[in-house]
Amino acid sequence: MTLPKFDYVAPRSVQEACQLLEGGGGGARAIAGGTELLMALKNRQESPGVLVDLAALPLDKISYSDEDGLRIGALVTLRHLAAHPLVGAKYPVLAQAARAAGTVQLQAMATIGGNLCQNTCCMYYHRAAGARQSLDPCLKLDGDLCYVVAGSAQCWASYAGDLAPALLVLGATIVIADSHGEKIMPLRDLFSGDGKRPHTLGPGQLVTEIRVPSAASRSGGAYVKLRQRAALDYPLLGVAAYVAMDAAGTTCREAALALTGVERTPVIVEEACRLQGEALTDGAIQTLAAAARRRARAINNVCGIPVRYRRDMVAVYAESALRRARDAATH
Amino acid sequence: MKLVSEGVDAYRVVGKSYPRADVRDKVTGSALYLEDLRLTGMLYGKVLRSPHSHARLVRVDTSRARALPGVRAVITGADFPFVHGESIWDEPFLARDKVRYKGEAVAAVAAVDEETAEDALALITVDYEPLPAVLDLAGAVKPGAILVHERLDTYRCELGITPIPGSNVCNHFQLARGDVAAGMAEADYLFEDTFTTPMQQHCSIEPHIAVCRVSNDDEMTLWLHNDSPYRCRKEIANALKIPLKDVRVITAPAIGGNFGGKGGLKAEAPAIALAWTLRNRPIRIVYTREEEFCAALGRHPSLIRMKTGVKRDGTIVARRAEVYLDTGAYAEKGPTVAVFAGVSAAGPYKIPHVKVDAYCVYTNKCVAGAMRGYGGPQAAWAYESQMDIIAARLGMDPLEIRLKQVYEEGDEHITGQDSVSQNLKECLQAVAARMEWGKPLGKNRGRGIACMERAVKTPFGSAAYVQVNEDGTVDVISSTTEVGQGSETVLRQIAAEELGVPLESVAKAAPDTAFTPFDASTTSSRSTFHMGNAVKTAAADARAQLLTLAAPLLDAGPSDLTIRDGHVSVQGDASKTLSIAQVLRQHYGPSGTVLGRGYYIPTMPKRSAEYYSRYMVYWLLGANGAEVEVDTTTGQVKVLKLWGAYDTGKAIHPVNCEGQIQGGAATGLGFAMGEEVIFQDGEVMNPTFLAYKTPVAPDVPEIVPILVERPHPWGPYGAKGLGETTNVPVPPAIANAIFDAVGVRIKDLPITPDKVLDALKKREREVRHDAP
Repeated sequence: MTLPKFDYVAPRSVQEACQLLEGGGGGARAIAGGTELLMALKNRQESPGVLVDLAALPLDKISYSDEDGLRIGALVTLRHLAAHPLVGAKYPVLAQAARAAGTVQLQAMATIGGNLCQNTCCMYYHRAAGARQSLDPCLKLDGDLCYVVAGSAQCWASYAGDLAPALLVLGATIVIADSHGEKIMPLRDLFSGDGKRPHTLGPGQLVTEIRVPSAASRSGGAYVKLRQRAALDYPLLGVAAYVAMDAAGTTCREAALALTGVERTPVIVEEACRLQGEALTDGAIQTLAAAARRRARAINNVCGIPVRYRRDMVAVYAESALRRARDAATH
Repeated sequence: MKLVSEGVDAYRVVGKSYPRADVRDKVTGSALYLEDLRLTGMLYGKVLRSPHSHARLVRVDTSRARALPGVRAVITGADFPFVHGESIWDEPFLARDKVRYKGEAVAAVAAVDEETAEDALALITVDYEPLPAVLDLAGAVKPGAILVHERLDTYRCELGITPIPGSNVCNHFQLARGDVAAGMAEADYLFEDTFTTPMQQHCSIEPHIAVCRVSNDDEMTLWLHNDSPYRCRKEIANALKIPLKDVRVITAPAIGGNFGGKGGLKAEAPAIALAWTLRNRPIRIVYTREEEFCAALGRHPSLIRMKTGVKRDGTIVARRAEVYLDTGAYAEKGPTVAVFAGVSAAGPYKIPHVKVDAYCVYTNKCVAGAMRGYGGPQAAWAYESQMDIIAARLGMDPLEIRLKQVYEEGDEHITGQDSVSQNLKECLQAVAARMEWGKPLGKNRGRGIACMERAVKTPFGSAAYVQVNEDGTVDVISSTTEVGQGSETVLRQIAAEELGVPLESVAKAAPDTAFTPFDASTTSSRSTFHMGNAVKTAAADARAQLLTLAAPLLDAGPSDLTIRDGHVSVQGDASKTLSIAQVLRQHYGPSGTVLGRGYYIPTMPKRSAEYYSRYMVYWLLGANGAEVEVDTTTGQVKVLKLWGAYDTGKAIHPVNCEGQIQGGAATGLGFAMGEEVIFQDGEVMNPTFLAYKTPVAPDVPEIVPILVERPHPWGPYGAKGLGETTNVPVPPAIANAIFDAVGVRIKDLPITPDKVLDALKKREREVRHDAP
């Protein structure tokens, strides 16, 4: 498998990178770790005229202060993130999610910004790209049919990034740069809900930093992931949970639950806020897990594991993540 | 771990685990693979593949592709009208008249680089007339089914292959003993179960590659990593109707995995077709990973119906097995896979009444052929799963019911042959002892055990030369290919032992049919035994010649001399000694060498009146144990630990044997827990390492290897083969452990969590329903 021909530029500043991306229009693509893009290039799922390499940009630092919270440069690798002692201590859900992504080798290359901007997955999209002759292109390949939902005019590829749900339950915001400057927005606004174009970034826009509010005391989080193998696989389902308890450790001050792998976008289970001011009983956790199951819209776009199993596991995994988060917060 | 040993032996090199010859180069990345080969003027080939499962080829227009700058040749089946096949001549080098699976080669391009060749493929237009396709076993064996090969009756077949004309069955193997109906009538219990397995893929890290050049005089040179250069040469010469001497196969120094996958003509076929057309230019073809999955070969998907009659005490009195193997669009090695599956379908048990029918069936899917175990994994999945079903029903211990009736030394096998070197019972006992069989386990944990037999491919010959060089070093000249299994080191050990030289002074290069002598194949775990014997004979011949040369130089008779550490000495007089180099120099002067010759073809076990199939000079025998934990909420199974005890005969290189048991267990684990080539309308849906679930490092638990060493009477130093079947009992061992843990039985591989969870729920409903 060979790469298609493309031009390559390596800008020295964020501003320059944004200008190059904007100037290239739809034909320019940013490359960071390349763990996803190189595969897509080889499979001709993408054929950009120019690759804008972000490697030289100064976006590879992690910092923390009690006032500003955690700030993660978009080029911080998942290995760096997972191994950072402060992240492990204060944001275990984030470290767990980073360790759950890909393999250790991929984690060493893949960046947090790239992970958030991960493309959606669907077995038909990947297969139709490989077997161009025998399968007509699907919507995501600019064709006009969906193999998953026959007759649908929408693409149903699933968002399956591991980091997004962990950052969503932590209330993360992101910094978006373009040639005009920077803006800060909630992470959830990065995701469009469209399987074909899952992100809201415009041409020339880059995620440059991820910000997480300072860690609350008596808080705990957990990320659990359903996959067929102990490494490498995208999540068939991923659940991130976060809870913060009051000083007595009996009443929930804050709770959040988010899913990945089961919709065209990461799913925030809004019902989690109902736990505020409540005792975190097993019953309350099960009620929330049942709500998560209703929110999830896993569809039949993965090889080998029937969709009903993935659906059934949403409540099981949500309950497990919430229990772990509660246990971490109360011990 | 060495469990059974004949005691301290006097060997100096054999039985010791030296660092393998190939390991350092592989680990440091300096090993040379076929991919590394660049020849002057070499062109790059690419193949256009069928997008249809079954279609008539109406028209192939290559004119635009030919006109593309950099393209040197574009050919179709019409340009190269030859067919090949190992047991049935059914496969065109490039499709002619019709295509029979998605992925079949329709046209091939040679160009100055890979990119140009790929671009040219897009310029070829093919008009197809789609035909209805047969895509599953059940459909393919129905009366009136669509035929994948309408003219099967006219195909040339090798001896012993029995196609059923007018059907999709390209081989029907039968084995019968006793009277099954009478046996079933005698039984207290009857068991009927159906077991299925999916297609598994070899997943060799190195894909299929071939480089071919043909001269103006039809002399063909191939640079290959085919596991069996001589078999490959024969298939090519037969197909093209050219003499064997005109086909030279040069094997790459290192090969990146085989597992049976590199046996037939894969990348070879289009490379040959292009090179034949475009004389004097080497053509190189490298498969992509997608081609590996969609256009190379895999393990036969299977369906096995097993009916068994059992006495109250667990004695099996009758067994009826119907084995269906889906071989895809071309027979490849399928017909003999069906033979091996059929021979062992009743399991390694003394059963008086047996009837086996094994069918190798064409479908419009990609081809299945040889893969580690060669019919064994499918058969063992059925007979070893059912063994535990029987044990559970009778309230018997799964180990006891096996020990009670496995073959033992001297027993007559259902094929009518006497069992020689039959150590399966010891393998079962060794696994049980190490895994502490019977010791209570925690909740939702379980243990399983399973065993297997599989015949070795026999009788087939192997030849070797052992050349003693001027300086006393030694070359083993043999056509066994080092595919990663360790044969290079094992054969060097045998030569060193027999000659009396240190291992480091012995080399073995990769085969070249112009120089290295005949070998039937590097398959079926036959090399250590067959080629080992040939090398041993050749080394003994060289030794005898050396002693004859040395005798006058040392004033002694040849029988008074001995060779040790590369020195010839008079026994009992250490002062009279010469190095081998001195012997050669003093005898020949400036230069001269000694060449030993060896050939081995097995002497067969006693032929009984009821002799049925080909003789088996030895059986591959072994047992695996598994310990699992099942999460009853999710259906997920964690395989905690695996054990494998295998009958090695004398282990020439014990650590290598242990590695074979561990590697095989990982292969078996994958087949058990997740590997499946998934088809939709004949299309492979998961042809990538991301979508196809072969285990990754953290999936593989601790694997405890156990060597059961009982020297085989005819093996070199008592050795027999090992590597091929160390995966075979692993899936049933795991399924049996799951049953032990939570009481549910999975009969369809792979054992995915949804199947376990469904079975748990079903059982719960049944229990509730049964409750008073």
